[in-house]
Amino acid sequence: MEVIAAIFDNGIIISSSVLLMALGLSLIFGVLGVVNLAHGSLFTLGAFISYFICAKFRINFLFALPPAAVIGFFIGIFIEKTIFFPLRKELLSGIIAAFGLSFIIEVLLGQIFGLDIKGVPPVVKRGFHFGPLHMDAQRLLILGFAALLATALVFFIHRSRIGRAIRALAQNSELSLLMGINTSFIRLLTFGIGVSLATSAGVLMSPVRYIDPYIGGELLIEAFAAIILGGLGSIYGAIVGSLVVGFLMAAGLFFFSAWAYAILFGAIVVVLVIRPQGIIPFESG
Amino acid sequence: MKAKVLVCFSGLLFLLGSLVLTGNGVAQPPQSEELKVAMITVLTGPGSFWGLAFHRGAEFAFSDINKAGGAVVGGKKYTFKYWAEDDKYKPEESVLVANKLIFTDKVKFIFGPLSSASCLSVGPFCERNKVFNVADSYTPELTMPGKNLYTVRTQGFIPKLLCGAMVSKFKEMFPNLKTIVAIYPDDATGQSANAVAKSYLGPAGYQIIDEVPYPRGTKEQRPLVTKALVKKPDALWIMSSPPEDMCVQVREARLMGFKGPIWSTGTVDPKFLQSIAGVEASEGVVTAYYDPTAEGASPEMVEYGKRYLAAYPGTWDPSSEVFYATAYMLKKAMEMANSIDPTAIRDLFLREDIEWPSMFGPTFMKGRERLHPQLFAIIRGGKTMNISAYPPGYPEAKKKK
Repeated sequence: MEVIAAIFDNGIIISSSVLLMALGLSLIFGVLGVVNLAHGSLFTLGAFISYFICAKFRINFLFALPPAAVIGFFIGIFIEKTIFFPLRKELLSGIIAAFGLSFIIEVLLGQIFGLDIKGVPPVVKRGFHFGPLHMDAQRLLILGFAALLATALVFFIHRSRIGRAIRALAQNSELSLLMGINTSFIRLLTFGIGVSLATSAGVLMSPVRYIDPYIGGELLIEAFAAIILGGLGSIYGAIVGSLVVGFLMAAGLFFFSAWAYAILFGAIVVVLVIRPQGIIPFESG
Repeated sequence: MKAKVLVCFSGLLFLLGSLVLTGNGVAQPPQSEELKVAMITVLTGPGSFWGLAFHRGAEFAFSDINKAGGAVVGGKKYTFKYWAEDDKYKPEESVLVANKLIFTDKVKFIFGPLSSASCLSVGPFCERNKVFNVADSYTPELTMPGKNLYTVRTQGFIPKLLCGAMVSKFKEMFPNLKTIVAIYPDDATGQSANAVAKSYLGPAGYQIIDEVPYPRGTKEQRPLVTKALVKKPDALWIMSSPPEDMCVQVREARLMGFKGPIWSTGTVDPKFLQSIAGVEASEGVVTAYYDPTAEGASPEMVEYGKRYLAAYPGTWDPSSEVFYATAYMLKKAMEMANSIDPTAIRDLFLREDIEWPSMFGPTFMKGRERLHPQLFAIIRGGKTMNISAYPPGYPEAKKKK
């Protein structure tokens, strides 16, 4: 029973971390078709903003959330305008540019903050027991935010005017333009929201992981796995994919620690062979 | 007349000058010859934090020895010309540097290199050329019988000595605990550290109820720590985890309510642990580190630590002591052997009855390894304290009761 409980609570916890990353990644890919390999570094940027604000002002890391979200939003707009929009018809060039951007962000963070490992103190240091389940406050906070952001994003995309415009752009950019949608604005907005989600995820995760310029890489791989498994570009797919990745990682690390990634990617290969479009493809998600 | 006086005066001057230069005159300075000692270490890139610490320790020691007059061997004074060469943590570079030191610079005493692969490459080279080598690495292969016969190791924090000392201290502090879970990176370093620790923990009466190997650098440590705690161990032993991994493991364990002892065989600065895991979570944790500014440090260590931190603020690394001590050992060996011959010096380093200078206390060589009282750092009341224990093989008669 304890083993099942341990895998369950770890599965939920890892899923929520992966989901925070996967949401922005999925949105950017689904709407703009950009494989944003710099998403991990933008997550790292968020973690450094959290560290900077906590260390400089000696305040709770949650105060870093609004500035990180705003900074992320404007960085997203800037990189879409200057890098990804000009390369929108060149998929491979876009991937290479994202890769390069990722390196630039990592080197800049290393130069500004140094390469030594840093940490952000958690707000609440105690844990809670729910029967055999055990959660600490910090992880519950991440879980809550992940659920909140996923719900808000689903509502925003499906219920708001801008959300409908985003979906229209994702389905057919030329037709959207003919229908009077300001596609350039929607592209900028989407990229801004996507990057804002990445930097916010970095802030939320900063107290549960250590911080260095390269921390985004591992989570980026997991988030990519989640959106590929769930269905590229689909928000519901990202949610389901994150749950699958989270539980696979939790079980993998628990039973075969050193084999966890091999198990995760083995499962991805199997799913893609059986269902190449992912669990919930874009059209339905 | 004037010319005669001038010739006589010049002749006298010449005579005096000749006497001085040939060393037979009253103005002869004490004889002093320069002896070359070079270190192969990591001065740039990854590993340079340790590499520089090693170099700085040796630099301090040789500078002090020279200021105090050097070593007196057979009535002759020797001062040391010491310098360090960068191998960038690469075995092929280490061999190139060793080649240059032995054949171009004619060096007969080499300290370093730092990594196991580099030491194993340089060791046979030194043996062939009869160059005395004091290497630093953790590999047991380095000092195996019949191998690298001109190489000794003065790094006292190798797993065999460190774990042995840690387990004896653990037994002294927690005689009633029974069960332990071991967490270690699933690579050669982690596996060998785990095997060594098990070889001491088992005979000491502890039962390893589970082992949690993990991919080094795993960012999400929670499932690993959950696995470690599911079997409800009395204590956690973390072997060779990198500092950042170890800090997160400690934090997760405490957040999950684990209150037992957590001991780490990794060299993790307690202040770093507190900054990542939090002050409360770090309470009671022991790491293979010592702090020269904390309680439990010897007066020599306090002095050395102050000096090191004044010269290199914020960069304290316990490894710096290794070649600081080695430089003094080399001086003592030369004076005892009354020779600067590398073979004679090596033979003295092989003797187990000689007490060598060290800031840790009485220090001996055994099987080409340096045995000294081991220090560990324990965090109590938010502060670091040094606690000490003896490594396996340490002479019983020399232990403080």
